[in-house]
Amino acid sequence: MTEKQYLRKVSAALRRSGMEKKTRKRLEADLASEFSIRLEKGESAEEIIRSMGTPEELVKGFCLEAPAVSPKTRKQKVLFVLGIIFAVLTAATGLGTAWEEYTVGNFPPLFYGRPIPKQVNGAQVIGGADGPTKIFVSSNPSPALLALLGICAAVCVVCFVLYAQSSRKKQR
Amino acid sequence: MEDRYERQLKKGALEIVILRLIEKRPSYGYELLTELEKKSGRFFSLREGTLYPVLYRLEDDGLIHAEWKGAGGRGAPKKVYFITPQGKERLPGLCSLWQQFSKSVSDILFEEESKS
Repeated sequence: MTEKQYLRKVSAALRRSGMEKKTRKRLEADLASEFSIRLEKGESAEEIIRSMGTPEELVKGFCLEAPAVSPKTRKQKVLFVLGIIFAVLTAATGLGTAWEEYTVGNFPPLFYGRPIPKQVNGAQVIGGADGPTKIFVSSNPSPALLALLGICAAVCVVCFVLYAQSSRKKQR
Repeated sequence: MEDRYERQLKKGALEIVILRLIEKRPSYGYELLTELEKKSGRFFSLREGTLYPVLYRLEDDGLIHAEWKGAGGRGAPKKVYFITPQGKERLPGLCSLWQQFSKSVSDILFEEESKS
């Protein structure tokens, strides 16, 4: 294996490990420099690779010594991404519920002069049905939306709790 | 293949030892590896994967700093590590901490032998 091939494999192993980019770049630069220096001193590429270890051994050794930069496992990455997705869904569902309540209390001008539904999502109109005097006494958000909001929020919390537990286990 | 106990013991001493070597003479990574191996009678026979996390920790703590030497000139550029004023200030305290640690451990481990 040549110097370039070895360093390319080391870069690939570092990327696969999920190591943060700043630390990865730092290590890649240092290893490349050291490889060149040792070649100049007369060592062969094979000797250098034997002493540095395979790319996987090198990355493993680094992560053992630097637990603070230990890469995230696949499970941690999946939990994190799912947590973010469900956080967005929770926010979207919450906005949808709020929008529903808002639109119930504020019919667009199109409805003026036309028969207005007596009950829309639990809201009832009292007083005159024209724009200035209508009063809505109650409004209930859609049960389906509320259930969806609850589920999304619960899944989001579970994902982040499991992610945090997994990170803490790794640090120990 | 070193066992877990040996690895743990070495882990505790490596940072102080490397800081001391850099204080005596600014060095680059490979130079530190060979110096460490020679001066320890091959007890500290490290690989790059073990050395660089220690150097990065010392650098991030502000005890050493690195400069690229030889870039643009003949030969491969070398990242040389120098001790900082903060590192020089911390080192005597770390050495004395090591002496205290080593004495305490020895006193416990060899207590019966010294009594008899």
